Amino acid sequence: MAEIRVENMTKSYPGGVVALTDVSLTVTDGEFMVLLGPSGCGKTTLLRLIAGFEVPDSGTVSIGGRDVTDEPPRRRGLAMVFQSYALFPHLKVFDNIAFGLRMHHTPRETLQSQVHQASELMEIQTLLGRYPSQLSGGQRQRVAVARALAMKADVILMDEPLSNLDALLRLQMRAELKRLLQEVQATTIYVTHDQVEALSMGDRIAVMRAGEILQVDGPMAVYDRPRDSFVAGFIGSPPMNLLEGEVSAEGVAVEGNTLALDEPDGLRPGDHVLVGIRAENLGVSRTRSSGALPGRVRVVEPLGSHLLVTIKVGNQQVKVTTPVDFGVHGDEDVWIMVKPGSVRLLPAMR
Amino acid sequence: MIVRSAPRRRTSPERMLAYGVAVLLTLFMIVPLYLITIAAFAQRAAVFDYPRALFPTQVSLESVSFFLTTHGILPALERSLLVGLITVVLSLLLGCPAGYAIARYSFKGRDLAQLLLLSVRMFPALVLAIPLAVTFIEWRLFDTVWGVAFLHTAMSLPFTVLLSASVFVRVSGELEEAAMILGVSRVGAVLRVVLPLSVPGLAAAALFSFVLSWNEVFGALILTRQSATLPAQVVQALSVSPLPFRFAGGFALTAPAFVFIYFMRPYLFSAFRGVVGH
Repeated sequence: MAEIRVENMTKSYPGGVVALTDVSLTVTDGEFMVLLGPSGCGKTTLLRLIAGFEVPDSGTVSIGGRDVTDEPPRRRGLAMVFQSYALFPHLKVFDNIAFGLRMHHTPRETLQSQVHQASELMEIQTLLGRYPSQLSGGQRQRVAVARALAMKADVILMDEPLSNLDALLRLQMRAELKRLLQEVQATTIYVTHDQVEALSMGDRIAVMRAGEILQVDGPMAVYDRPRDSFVAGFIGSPPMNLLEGEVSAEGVAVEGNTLALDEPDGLRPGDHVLVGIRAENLGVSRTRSSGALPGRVRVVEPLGSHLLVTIKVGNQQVKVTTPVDFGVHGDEDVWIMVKPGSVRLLPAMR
Repeated sequence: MIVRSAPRRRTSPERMLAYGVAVLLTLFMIVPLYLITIAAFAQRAAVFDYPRALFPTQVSLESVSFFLTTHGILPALERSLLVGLITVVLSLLLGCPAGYAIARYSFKGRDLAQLLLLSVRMFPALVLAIPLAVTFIEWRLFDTVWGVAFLHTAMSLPFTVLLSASVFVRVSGELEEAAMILGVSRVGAVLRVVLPLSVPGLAAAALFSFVLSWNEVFGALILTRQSATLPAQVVQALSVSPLPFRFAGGFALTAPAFVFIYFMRPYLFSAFRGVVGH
């Protein structure tokens, strides 16, 4: 059993930098949890505290039900892939992969078979006799993953392992890693600042900002029902449209037009709210329909599979996706339709 | 159309200047050594020749054997080697952990510690050796190989500490972390990952310590009577020794350091070759 439980963890550094404030998180056995957030949000600090490289100011870490807060990294049953791979330059690929097994005094035959198994999984069998300096970036990354897999640990930690790869390779490795980790069934914690990676790979995503976890949910929930405007803006490309509006008796008024609300949710007329709607949940038409918002087209960006249209609504702006053949141009007056049930109300960013 | 200038031609005079200076410096070092060597291996009469033949045809081991068989020289040579080796070992054993601390941790007083270490070098060995002699007499270290080795270690420690710190800084800390996750303690990580990768730089530090100890004369002179190191022994005999003795002595004093450097060369070159760890 490899459930990871972080409770009330706080960590600050000399100089007054507060990296984490009272952070708690539970990763269930076998789950792929992504820690997502911008630079400086604390995701790497949290990972390092789980790994045991740093000691928290307060709080505990438990792995598999065991409190490991005071344990050194080697006693936590972990494997880790670093952003820069951290391959040992003075050892051949085989010895790099075998390092952990050797340190645990694994018998020779078991060691050989586990190293070969891991290198087959990562398709690097032909590279075993080389040194890291003789490998390409993509190959080094595979060796780093193989080294972690060979340990057959219950928990795998990954610190932005794909960041140093070029875009095409990253796409390839993303899918491969996802399939691989599903097969291996280890509990995985994956740190990234790339929301596409997070959505694609995670069972659940913990969105972090300024030392706090804002929301922990599955990818679709984080995408469709963000809990605050930061999450709404961080997830998805383009970010969720956020419009200022005022609650009225019939719904919420945005720039003089009223949108229907499904869940008024304890709000009273006159309350100021942020209305969140995804670009794909908006439609553009040249004819007016009931409930549609009037606007003027500012920019049309053809993105290959669809058009991204930026439309000015009153003093605010929204981005809408339309089919490629929707022939709209700048400065046209159009009407924006809102897909029923897709309106979200969000508190403003703190 | 882009007109390409000829960059190689443009830097040629600068390059030639650089080469010229390099050649001059080399000559400045090599010529005296060469002259000493040919004099050390010249026939006795030829030593007094002036001007000296630049490419002597007659080689003789007279002077060198005279030197080596002079009473006290061979034991002094042995002692110099011993002191040198002890100095290297102690300097590394004490210096590397300190260097590691400076490289990996930021702690209060880190800068002060480095400053203090460097300031030890401000004192001439001659000045330090006299009160040291008094203390060593009390501690029964006076006139011993260990006493001189301790002085030399103290003199070379600032360099060992700072050199090893700069070497360790170039080995990425992530490598230690990777090793620790894989099953070793921090000490194990240092022994299995950091040290193997630091060999070139530490070899340079070892070389430095050895040569420092081998050449050191004033401290050794004051701290010894019967158990002199080679430089001290030669200095004592200098005023009453004939010319061949002096040349042979000069050669004997410089040759071992050269041998040491020769063996260290491969390690030194890779020490200058770039960042370790990525």
